[in-house]
Amino acid sequence: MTPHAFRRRGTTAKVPWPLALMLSLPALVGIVVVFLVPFVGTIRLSFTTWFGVGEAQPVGLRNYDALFSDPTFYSSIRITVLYTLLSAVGIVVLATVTAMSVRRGRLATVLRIVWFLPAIAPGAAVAVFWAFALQPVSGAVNGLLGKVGLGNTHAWLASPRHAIYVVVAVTIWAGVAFPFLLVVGAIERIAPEIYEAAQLDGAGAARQAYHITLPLIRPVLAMVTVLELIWNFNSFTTVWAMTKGGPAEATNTLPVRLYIDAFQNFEFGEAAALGVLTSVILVAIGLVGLRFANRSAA
Amino acid sequence: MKRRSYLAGVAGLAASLVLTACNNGGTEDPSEPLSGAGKTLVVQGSAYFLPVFKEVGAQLQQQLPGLQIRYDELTGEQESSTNLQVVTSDAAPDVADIPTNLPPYRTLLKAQQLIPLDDVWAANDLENGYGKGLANSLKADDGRPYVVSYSRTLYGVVWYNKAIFSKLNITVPADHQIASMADLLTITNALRAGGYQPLAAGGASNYHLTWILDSLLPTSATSEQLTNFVSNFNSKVPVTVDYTDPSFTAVLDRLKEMYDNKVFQDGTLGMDSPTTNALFASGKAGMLMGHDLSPTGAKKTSKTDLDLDFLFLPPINPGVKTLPVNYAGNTLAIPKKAKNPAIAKEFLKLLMSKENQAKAIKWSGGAAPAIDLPTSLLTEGKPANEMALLSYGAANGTRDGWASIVPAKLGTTDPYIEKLFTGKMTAAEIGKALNGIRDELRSSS
Repeated sequence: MTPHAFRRRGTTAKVPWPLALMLSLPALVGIVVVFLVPFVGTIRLSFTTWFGVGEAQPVGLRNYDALFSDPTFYSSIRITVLYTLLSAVGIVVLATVTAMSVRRGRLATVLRIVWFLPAIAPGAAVAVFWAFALQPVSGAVNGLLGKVGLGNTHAWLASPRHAIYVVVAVTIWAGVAFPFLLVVGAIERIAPEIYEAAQLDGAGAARQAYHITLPLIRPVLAMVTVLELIWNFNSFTTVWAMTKGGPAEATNTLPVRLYIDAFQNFEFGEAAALGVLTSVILVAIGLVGLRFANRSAA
Repeated sequence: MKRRSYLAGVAGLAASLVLTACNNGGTEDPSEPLSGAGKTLVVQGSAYFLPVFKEVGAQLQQQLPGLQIRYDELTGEQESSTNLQVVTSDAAPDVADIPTNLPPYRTLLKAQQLIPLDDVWAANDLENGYGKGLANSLKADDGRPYVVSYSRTLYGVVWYNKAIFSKLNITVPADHQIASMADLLTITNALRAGGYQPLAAGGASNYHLTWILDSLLPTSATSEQLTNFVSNFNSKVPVTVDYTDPSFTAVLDRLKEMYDNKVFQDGTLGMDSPTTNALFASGKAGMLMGHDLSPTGAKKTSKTDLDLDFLFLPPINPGVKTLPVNYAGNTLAIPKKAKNPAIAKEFLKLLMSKENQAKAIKWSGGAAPAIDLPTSLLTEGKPANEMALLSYGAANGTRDGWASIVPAKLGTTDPYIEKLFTGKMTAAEIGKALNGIRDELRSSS
């Protein structure tokens, strides 16, 4: 075998390296242009002061120092972790439960459409709608609660203690559709004979779900969980459209903070430093998640 | 040799690209008389003022036949954020919406991305029209103007729904002044008892709470202190008063007192400006923290006819009148990358003419002119309650808004006030934080 040839894993087919390079070139160019160049640019920017126009001034580690010495940075990390964990777990659990509920039965097709509906609406519109709907007195949710005697002045978005949970709930509502489809797909790949055999052995729906469905869809669940962790860690639209990081910075997640630093304060250097640190955290989540996913698949 | 000719070819191509780019950046030939044929002027503006710009644009189109004008509407968020990138891009507008109290203005000045407007100012004698104080505040550090202020907004005004007040038999304070905190609480308690939300203020708007601070600060600080507050972010001005001074912290304490006593609507901290305005326009709140164009906005949203009048919040020091706060930061500029700067200047000259400044009151639905106008020009057709506010300001005077003058980094106090309301910061801690920002600005100015 020539060292200048790639061998596809598990096959004997050889691909000459010039051809391999040529075939990968479009993807490589894409990665370099849309990922590597901006990433390196962001790292460079994080060591400068730049206000959006003109020349960037090098400042060494000052932006990182400013971040680490700012107590609100740590509270942003705490809020982001809380938001990410609750949203990701909520989405995966709800997607799994709903996917299992539409496995069979007369209403299965209708329910699949219903569960997928939130994915059709644009994220920003969903967030603005819920922000209006959750307002006291004038909001639809409070209106309904008022009609059944539960009061119409609940101001969840105005409460620093509760606002993050409301945003999480909306994130779950809006984000459950795509994982739902993936889990439905994974469940459908399980051979019906396995369920039939379990039924003959007297296993009920709950035992089937716990002992058959869950173990067999574990690789998909692991992948979905990792993706949801990454997406929600980076999530901006829902939080910004609903609370803009408030009240009193109670929902000031890292992406919101980055947006404010970059596009409201024009401190692009500090925003870039925050972006770099966020990337490091995300890479760590990704690596742990990949390892977990590989173990699940094994 | 081959390599050299290749390099020459690349250099030639690059040069021609640069020249093409330059050509696209400036379609006007300064040696030729102005012509509108084949040109499109791009004018940015907020929803409140686009009707004014469209009227002025129509006049300009009559002067320059063939001229097309595109009006780009900006939201408040775009004005304070992404518009910087638009204004410095190759797709820069000809007339840019650059409020002087928002971050893009100072960034653009620093980067020398705006065209000086001395000739626009001279054409309409804006130096005298604005008055010395405002004229100076609109000039850059080099003493030259790079913006025109086309309208003064009077803010810090409490609009109340007359029908609700009448229905609940709420006594309307004399001379539009709520005399004391006790009087304010009497009104807000009556509104709550009657099933209405009291004072609607967008605690999540990022500016409504600062409006109240701006409205009350002149009733707490002396005029010398106020002058220093609005200018001591500049290192050339000595600091004679700190933000930890009782004249400043008393206003924060008052805001907290208002919040604790439920003067604001339920859920104020979760409501932005549109949500708050909708609450008032739908007749569910008795009062609205607003500005001179709020009635126009509310009437557009409301399904019913709203009969509104205005009030002012109780002063910090008894006996002092709370007055409308003057915002002169509604400003337009011409970016260096504008394709039609000469036509843009003609647009600004027309906009700032005395006649059009007078007509703009009606076109906008009640916005105050930026320049002092002879009463002969203030003619019929103005909305009654907005004119009453303008007349009140003219008769009793207006105050300069602290947050409308200082850089946004210092003047955006809503996030701090939210923390004050929720017990995460005290007035003294906020004062200390603002001192820090002021000192940071001084060290970089």
